[in-house]
This record gives sequence, structure tokens and C-alpha cells, in this order.
Amino acid sequence: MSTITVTVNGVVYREEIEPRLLLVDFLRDNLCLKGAHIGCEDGVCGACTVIVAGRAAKSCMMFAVQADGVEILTVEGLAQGARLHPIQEAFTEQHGLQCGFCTPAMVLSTYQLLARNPDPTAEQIRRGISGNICRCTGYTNIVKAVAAAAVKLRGAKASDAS
Amino acid sequence: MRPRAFTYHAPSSIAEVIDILEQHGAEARVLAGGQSLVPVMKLRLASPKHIVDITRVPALDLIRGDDGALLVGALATHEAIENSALVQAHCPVLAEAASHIADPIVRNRGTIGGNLCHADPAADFPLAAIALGAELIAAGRASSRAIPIDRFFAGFLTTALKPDEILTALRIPKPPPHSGGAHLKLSRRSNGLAIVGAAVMLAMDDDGNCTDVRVALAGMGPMPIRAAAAERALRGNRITQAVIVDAAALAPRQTDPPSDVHGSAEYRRTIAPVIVGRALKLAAERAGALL
Amino acid sequence: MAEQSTAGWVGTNYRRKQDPRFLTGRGRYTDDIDLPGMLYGAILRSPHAHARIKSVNVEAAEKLPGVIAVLTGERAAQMCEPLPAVIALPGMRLNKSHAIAADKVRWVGEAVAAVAAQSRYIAEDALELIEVEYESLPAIVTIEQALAPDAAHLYEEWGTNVAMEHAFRTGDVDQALHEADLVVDESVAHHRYTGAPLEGRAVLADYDRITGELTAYISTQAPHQCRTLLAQILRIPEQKIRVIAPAIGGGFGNKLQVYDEVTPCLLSMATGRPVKWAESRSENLLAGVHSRDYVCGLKIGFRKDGTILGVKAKLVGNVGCDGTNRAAGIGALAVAAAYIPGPYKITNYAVEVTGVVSNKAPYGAYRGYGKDVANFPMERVLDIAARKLGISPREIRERNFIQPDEFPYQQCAGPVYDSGDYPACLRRALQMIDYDRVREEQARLRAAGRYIGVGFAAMLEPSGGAVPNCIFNGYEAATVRVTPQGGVTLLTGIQDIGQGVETTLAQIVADELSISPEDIKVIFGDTAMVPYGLGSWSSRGAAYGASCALMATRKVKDKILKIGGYLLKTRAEELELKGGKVASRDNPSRALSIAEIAKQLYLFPGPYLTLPEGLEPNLEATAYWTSPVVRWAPDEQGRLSIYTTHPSATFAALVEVDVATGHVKLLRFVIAHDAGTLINPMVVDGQIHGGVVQGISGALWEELKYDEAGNLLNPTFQDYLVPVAADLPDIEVAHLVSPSPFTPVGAKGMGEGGAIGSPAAVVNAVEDALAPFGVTIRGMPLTPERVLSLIREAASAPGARAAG
Repeated sequence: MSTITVTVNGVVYREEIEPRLLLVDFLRDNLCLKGAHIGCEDGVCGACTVIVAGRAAKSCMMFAVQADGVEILTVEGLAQGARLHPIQEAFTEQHGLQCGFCTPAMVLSTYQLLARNPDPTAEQIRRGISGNICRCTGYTNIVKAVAAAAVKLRGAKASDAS
Repeated sequence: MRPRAFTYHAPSSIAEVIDILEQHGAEARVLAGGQSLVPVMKLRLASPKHIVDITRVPALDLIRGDDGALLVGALATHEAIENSALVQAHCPVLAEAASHIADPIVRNRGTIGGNLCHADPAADFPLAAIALGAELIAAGRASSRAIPIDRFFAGFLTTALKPDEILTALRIPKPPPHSGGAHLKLSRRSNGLAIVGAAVMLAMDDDGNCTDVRVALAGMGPMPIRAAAAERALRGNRITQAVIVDAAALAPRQTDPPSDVHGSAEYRRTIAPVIVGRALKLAAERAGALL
Repeated sequence: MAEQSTAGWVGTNYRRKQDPRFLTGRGRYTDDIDLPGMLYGAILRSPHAHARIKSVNVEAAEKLPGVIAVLTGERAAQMCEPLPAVIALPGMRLNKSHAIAADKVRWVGEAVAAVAAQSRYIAEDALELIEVEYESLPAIVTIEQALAPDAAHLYEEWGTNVAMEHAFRTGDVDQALHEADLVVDESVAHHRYTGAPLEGRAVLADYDRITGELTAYISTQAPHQCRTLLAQILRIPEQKIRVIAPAIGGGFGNKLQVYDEVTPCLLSMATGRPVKWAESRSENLLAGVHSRDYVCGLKIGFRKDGTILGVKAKLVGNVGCDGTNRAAGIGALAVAAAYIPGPYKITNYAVEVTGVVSNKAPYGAYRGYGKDVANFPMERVLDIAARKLGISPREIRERNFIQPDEFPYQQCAGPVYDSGDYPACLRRALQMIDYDRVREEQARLRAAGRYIGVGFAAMLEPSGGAVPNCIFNGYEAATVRVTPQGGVTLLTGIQDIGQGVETTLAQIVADELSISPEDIKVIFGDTAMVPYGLGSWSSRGAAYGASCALMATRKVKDKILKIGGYLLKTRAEELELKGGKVASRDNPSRALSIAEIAKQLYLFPGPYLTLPEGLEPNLEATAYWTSPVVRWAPDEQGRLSIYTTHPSATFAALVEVDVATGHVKLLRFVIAHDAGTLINPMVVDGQIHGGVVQGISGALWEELKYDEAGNLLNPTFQDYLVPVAADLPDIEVAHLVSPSPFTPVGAKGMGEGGAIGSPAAVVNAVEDALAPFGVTIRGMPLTPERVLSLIREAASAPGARAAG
């Protein structure tokens, strides 16, 4: 067993775990953060995406021990109380989700994409979210949602600046 | 699916890594980004008893100039390489290959060292490293050694590394003037592995004659390989469309492509000249050739 | 109460009520639910396509610390009944199968043992310790092998591998073919693929040994049928079973069956503890259910001008093993037989359908359910025929379309079509893709050695099915309840699986009561709460779900008006419900809100002062809806009518083919679609987008590939190619609106159409791009290798046309 200390959504956790425990199981089973989902076993679907040390990572492709000492953001840490994050708002406004299973991961992928590129083209959006499979939407409305989120976030930034 | 149990080691220096590898031999596997290893462990296709996590060895994570060459640490991620100004300036084909690997999330964690050591015959970095004539620095108990990339891949998912050695970095020589490279692949899905992939580096003299060329192929055998016959057909010749087409036609020579769900051996042989030809053309244009 | 309480919600892009849950990670899918004392289940699966089980040794697995129970097929058979048939139509053979195989395995992936352990990790460790001895038998993989005279029989007691046979004939086809100027005789094949919802199947079973009650959280599209089937299989009285279908991570038809779903229940019964099982992706792909996988021969006689004189169809499906107990998949072939005429006027028609069993995974329902089988061969052959007749693909379709003034239309094989304007859909789609300009561009690019192509397909989507002698038969229930505060709950038997009924049904109820959807809570997915209903399949929400919700709401509205009239001392006929208030038409100031009426009725002063005689003291009603056009009693020709609504569309695809590698790039995809009245256009668009991409994906990427020994070669997402965003263009949608006269809302169920017409559009476009090579496409998916070999074969064929 190994003891790890991880900060998730600003809360520090110390847990004793088996080394083989996947990060996604640690988040879901040990911390009861069920927003990261499991849709495949070889890291293609990306439904388990969380932000590890500032970078999107597929949490089913990491052992929890590797996250020792690291800060993690999950979808549960995105909304401010009852207020959705602008990316989450854009997804519901543009109908960028149906069954919702891929959605937390899509939202976090978008979070990273827009942090790196605040004004992406449609092509860049499509490439930027290609680590996440959505089986319901055909991506059309997700692409719209990401573009709309970019506008919101740029607007928020501009109003912060002024 | 969940992996079998293992003992986890998280050394903080290369010496410690070597110690652990020496102690456990074939029962140990090095874990870097884990983007290839973790899935095969989950599917229980690989079940090392000891996992040696090298991500806490700071000396392995670097991208810097080294006496005219470029040194890329084994822990440099695909994402870091894709976006590194140094890589872009020194050997853009390496960044291009990085940008073609899997998807942006995998590229955040996947490392060049892991990609090379996994030695997947369809992977992208091995091609770029072959095309660039990289040297791989392996650290062992007594000393470090440099392994030329042409001697690194030893067979299907096998490298020339000894059980108690780790790859610490790649040393990429400075490409000559009037040179250009390209990485291309055909895959069925945009984030997929290559059915056939190619990376080429090509250098010319002032008259447009090919002074040096390296052509690497993915998906054409049990390991990443060079297309020697194609290279011979170019070296010393003036680079023209026709010469490129003729040379590319030789790409399947002495290859042993697999048949799998994405394409038969015959199909791979058929399209290898197309992929190689396009990569050569792109590289020649980037080198300044007027085709 | 919400501010905006005006009517007119139907037709608006009302934002989905469920979204905030999903967006914040609070979706609560089955695998997200934990119960005290919960164990984790895992299933051992057969590595053989066909084998006899000689022995199963679980000793070592049982000894592993953390393992609580191990089940073999033999032990399971003592605890439960075989899987009952979910569909039994004339001409179908039924087999006997068990949730866990005891004597014989019939496909790679069939369950042979199961474990309950303290963690998922230990459960998987234990599976490795189970020793199963098999005696391998020859595998039957293809239709030819199954039908070979000397073939072994998968179900020995049948004496054949034919699981179903069905034939129908109307008019005089032979005479029609004889009189035709051209007879096209083509055979097209469709490979096997599946829905692969991102959430696999999942069950959390909680059996109480003292009370004998079972609560099962199941990722299912049809909770009530799950309960019914589990009751039969587990020998538990149905009232003691509660099935909860919480959030469902996609279904697409794949989550209608009960087979592996039994196993966690058995493990819970064996241990007395809750047991959770969530299948892995490779289990999902290996264990089924799968779809398509057929060969269809079409012999069609045409007049010179393209008029269809007669159609003879022969359809053979490779249903894998067991298409009746594990799922209702086999019925798809019968649906195909009824719908091959599609949107065209055909009077002489004959069809023969055969379903053969093989050692592949079970056939099940998947988006399309045979309507795709009817569509693809016909839309393929029409393009081929147009070429032979020297007319355009547009003309051949226009020549044969049922016209807008011919509805309701009695189609020759039984169905009654409700409404539509097929020629207008076609015109609109061609306009959207800019057909004429694309043709010019095509010529210009061909001169430069580039090959683009445009293809289209007309589509008819029978929806809202009612299958006789099947647990998926066809009625629906809804209960509307007004709370003492005046809010409303709608209890529906329809299941939200991503298609958004939680929101769209609220829009319907809101309009009828002139309140806001915000004031309506839609409750579904719990057999302890909602009336017995049939769940989500056959795109039945818009016909069945919406209609019964509307009927129940009307009953409640009527009651609100009556009680309101009593309180206002006005006759109900003089009142109207507007803005959430009962008000006098003549004097709107004489008004009472629904909330006031509810409060007065339920609470203060209470019923004895507020209730007119003859009414029960509640604002609640349940309504059931059955379709006015479903007819199960065969007519004189033996025809049934089982679908209520028939959306239509024309799809158009623009592709570019790299003729050096065979790689196909989809450049644009447009649909002109008619689903009648749109309840929520945004939701409708989303359904179309998703369906279209699944169809495109089937045409280009997805294939469940078996080798000769019956091994599935690609049971992971690394090799089973579900597309990502970068593989696709935007899907462009336009709507035409021909309301259905058969549903009270005028809406038509439309969840599947996207997947029905898109494969033909893509294939037709690729064939168009390759026209200079003279390529004819008869199979899919269009892998680069297949496309390149088609080009090469065409080039080397005698009389090959020179490529431009």
C-alpha cells in the first residue's frame, strides 16, 4: 500500500491505496467524485478526463500513486456554487450534450483548449476535442458550444480588464 | 478492466532507477507517461511485478541545445515537443510527428522516451528519430552510452536497451543547410495509429542535388524501419518529381508489413510509395527544392 | 412559480432541464451509485466461438481473499430459469439459453462464470483463477456456412440454422419484371456494427434475502420490461422487484435486453449483498448486441423513364446466436421486409427474408431496426439503375416518390404512411448542398486529378412501432399530478436515454396547462413510481410518450376547470386556462390560479368545500395511448400495420476520395428532414446529428470484424473505430413540417432516421466521385483498402473506362 496526498478541487486528501489503483477509480470510489466516467479501457474515449497539474489527462491511464503531491481539477470543481462555469453554460445553450456521459470530460477538454487557445477556429476546436468520444451529438453542437464558450470567456476576460 | 498487482517504485535519480532495474531485471518495467503501458496492463497483456515510475527524475525532463545538437530528455512530452520553439527551429519534423500522435490529452502525458522504448511499429516518434539520425543516450550502472537510432529497434516491441538501462535523452544533430523534413501518415481515424507512416529528412546542395536522405517507415514490418532502396535512389541525384516518384516506388522493398484489421500487407505495400512520395515531396519543398 | 407562464413552449428550443446535472458531474449513472456493503461483479467470458464446456473449476478463485461468491453456469441454472423469448412471431424458432452458459458456449464473449468480490480488482484477479475446460467445436461464422447442407446446427434441436423465415408477395412481380425495359439485379452486403453507447451496460443489484425483494439499478431503455423479464428468470414475484434506470449513458437500441443483466442479480441473491457490475468496453463489443450484417438481393424492373414496375427482394441476415431471448434483434429483418418500398410507389412487390444463426454475438436492436436494412439496398440500387437508364439519381427518385397529396398512403406491404412531402425534401437537400455548383466543381477538379462526389439518399423512418407478441408491443402510460402548491409532476413510462424527454414532455404538459416547463418535474425510470410503460425504443417518445402525456394533462386540465368553475361559481365551459389561471372568458378578473385551486382542494379548506359532486379529490390523471393506425389483425393479404408515424428526409453527402490511397474524406453532409411538428427543434437537430454520424461511421469506419474461427478481431476502441470530432464536418439540417394526422401533437418520432439514410448517401457520393473509374460499390465499410481495390478492379476490368 502507498499513502498519497492529493489536492482535488482545492481539498487536500490523504489516502492509503494500492499502487495498481487507477486514478479514475481513486476519484470515483475513494473520493466519490463520479464526474469522471469510464467508457473504454485503452484511453481512446477520454470520458475519464480530468485536469492533473494544469493539464488534461485521461485518469484511466494513470495510477493514483502518480498523482501524489499533485493538484487535480475535476468537473465537480468547475461551477461556482449554483452558477455554471461559462463553458458549462455554453454547452447547455448550444445543446452540446445528450446522454451527458462524455460531457464532464468534454467540458474539461474545452477548458484546456480555451486556456491554450482563446479564439480557436472550428478546425482547431475539432482537433482540440479529438481526445474525447461523444456517441450522441455527432459533435456538431459541441463544436458550436466550444466556440460559444470561447466568446463568453473572452468577454469575461475583457470585462475583467476594463 | 483493471491491472494485476505490482510493487511501485518512485526513484528520484537515474542512479536509483538503475539500482531498481538491476535488482528486479525482467520483472520490472519503466513507467513514464504511461499512455501505452497502462492500457496493456489494464488489459492484462503485460503485468510487470515492479513498476519504476521515472517521472520524478528531474534530469530526464528537458529540451535544450547541446553544442549545435538538440537534446530532448526522455520525459519530454509530446505536447512539449509539439510546441517547443527550440524543436521548431532545430528539427520541425520532430514537432510535426508529435502533433500527429493520438490526441491532445494523450500528448499531454505521453513522453518521447516512452514512445521510443515501446517500439510500436506503427508509432510516430521512432520515424522522426530515424529520419533525423538521432542518437539515443542510454544510462546504465557503469556509464552512459549513445545508441545510434538505426541500431535501437531490435524487433517487435523490442529495443537494444539492456534490462538495467534506461533511455535518458535523444541527441539530434543539427540538420545541414538546404534540408527539410516531413512526417505523414495514413490512418483511418484522425487520432489513430498509422496504417503506413513515413518520416523523411532530405538535404540538398546548391544545385538541388540530394546530398543526404533518410526515409523511415511505420506499419511496414515488426518495427520501425528505413527504406534503404528508396534512399539510394535519391542520394546524389537531382531532386525532381520523377526522381521522387521512382524512389518512393522502392519503399516497399525488403519490408514485411503485417495484415491486421486496418489493412492487409498487400495494401500497405501498395500505399507505402504514395505516402513516401508525398513525404519526400513535402520535405524537398521545405528544403527549398523547386519541383 | 416561474415568471413566464405563457403557452407556446412546443416548438421552442427550451433548454434541457437535465443539463446542469450532467454538466456538473452529478448525472448519477448506474456505476456512479454505491450502496452500503456493496460488492463488485465480474464475468468470465468464453474465448471460444463454439465449444462444449467440459468442466469449470472455481476452487482457486473461491479461495482468493476478498472473493465472496463464484457462480458457474451450473449453479446459476439451479437459481433461475432460462432466458424467456422477448419476441415470438410466426416463422421464428426459439432457443433455450441461460444467462451463464452451462453446457455449450456459442460465441466469443458468452458468460461462463461470474465472481462477486470486494473490489473490481480482486474480482478480475479471481476470474483469472477460474479454470474452464472446453471441447472446441467448429465455428459457423458466415451465412454460407450456416446454410451449407452439411452444416452443424447451433441449436441441435432445431435441425436447421434458420432462425426465422418470412415471405410476402403482392401484385404480380414476375409479370412486372417481364414487362420492364430494364431489370437491375444487384446484391449488396452490409457489415456488422453496433451502437456502442459510451456508457456500457451496468447493473447494481440489491437483493434482500429476508423480504425476497430485489432493487436493481439498470442502465436500460425499458425498465418495466426488465422487471417483467427478471421476475420470470429469477422466480421473484414482479411486485417485489423494483427496477431503477437512473441516468442512461446512451442506448441506441442496445439497452433493451436482459441477459448479462441477470448475473449481478444472481450474485446479489447468492451473497445477500448489493453487487455492482459495469461492463468494460471490450465486454460491450464482444458480448453484443450487434446489428446489420446482412446480404440483400434486389431485382427491380424499371420503365425507360425510371418508373419502378416491380421489386423482388431476398434478404438474409446473419443474426449471430440467439436473436430472440437475448434481444428482439431478429424482428428487424421483418421490419425491413415491410419497408423496402420506402418512399416510393410500388405495387408489385415480393420479399423473402431469412435469419440464420451463427457463432457471432447476438443480434439486437440498434438505431434503424431494419428500416436501415430497407433503405440502404434500395437507395444503392436506384443509383446503379439511374446510371444504366442514363437518367440522374434525382430523376429516378422523383419519378417514383409518393406525392404529397396521396397521404394517408396505404403502402403495398401493409404500413399506412401519415404525411410528408418527399419531393420537397429532395429539392431542399440538393439546394443545400448546391448540387449544380458541385457538379461544376467536380468537373474542374477531375481535370486536376482530384475526385469529389456528391450522393444522396431519400429516407423514410417508420417510428413508434407496436410489435405483436413481443414485450415491445406498443402503448404508453403517463400520470400527471398537480402538487398542493400548484406545481406539476409528470410520470412517464418513456425513458430518457439522452434524447431529452425529460424536457420535451414537460414542454407539452406546460402548453396544455399554460404554465412553464420549469414548474414541471418529469419522473421516469423507476418501476416503483411510474405506471407500467414500455420505455424508449422505436423512436416512440414523440408518438406514444407525448400523446399519453398530452391526454393525461387534458384530463387534469378538465378537472382544474371543473373545480375552478365550482369555486368561481361559473360553468366550466365559460372558463379558460390561461397563464396558469382559470379565468372567465367574459370577465378575466374572475380568476383562480392552478396553485390556488390546488391549495383549496388539497389543504385549506380541503375537499368538502371545494369539490363538485362526482369528482375525486385530486388533480391527477393517468392516460394510456394506443395508436389509431396500428393493426395487428392481418388483412386479406396478410398485412399488418405496426408503425404510427413516418418522418422522411433526403440526405446529401459531399466527399473527396484520395484515389492513390483510397482514403475518403467527408466534406459536407446535409439533411432536409420532415418530422412533422417539432416539439423542441434544438433537440430534434441533436438527434439527427447524432444519428447521421452513426450512419456515416458505419459506412466509413465501424465494423465488428470476425475471423474464420469466430474471434472478434477488434473489441477495443483502439480498433473499433468510433469517430472523433476531427473526422467529421458539421451536420447541416433543414426542416420541413408535415404534421402527422395520427398523433395529437402532430409530432413524429425521429430518433433513428439519421442513421437510416446516411450510409447510402455516403456510399452513393463515393461512387459518384469514382464515376470516371466505373466503380460499383456493393459492400462496406469504405475502408481505404476497399476503396482502392474497387478502383483497381474497375481499372483492370475489361472495357474499363479511362479515369479522367
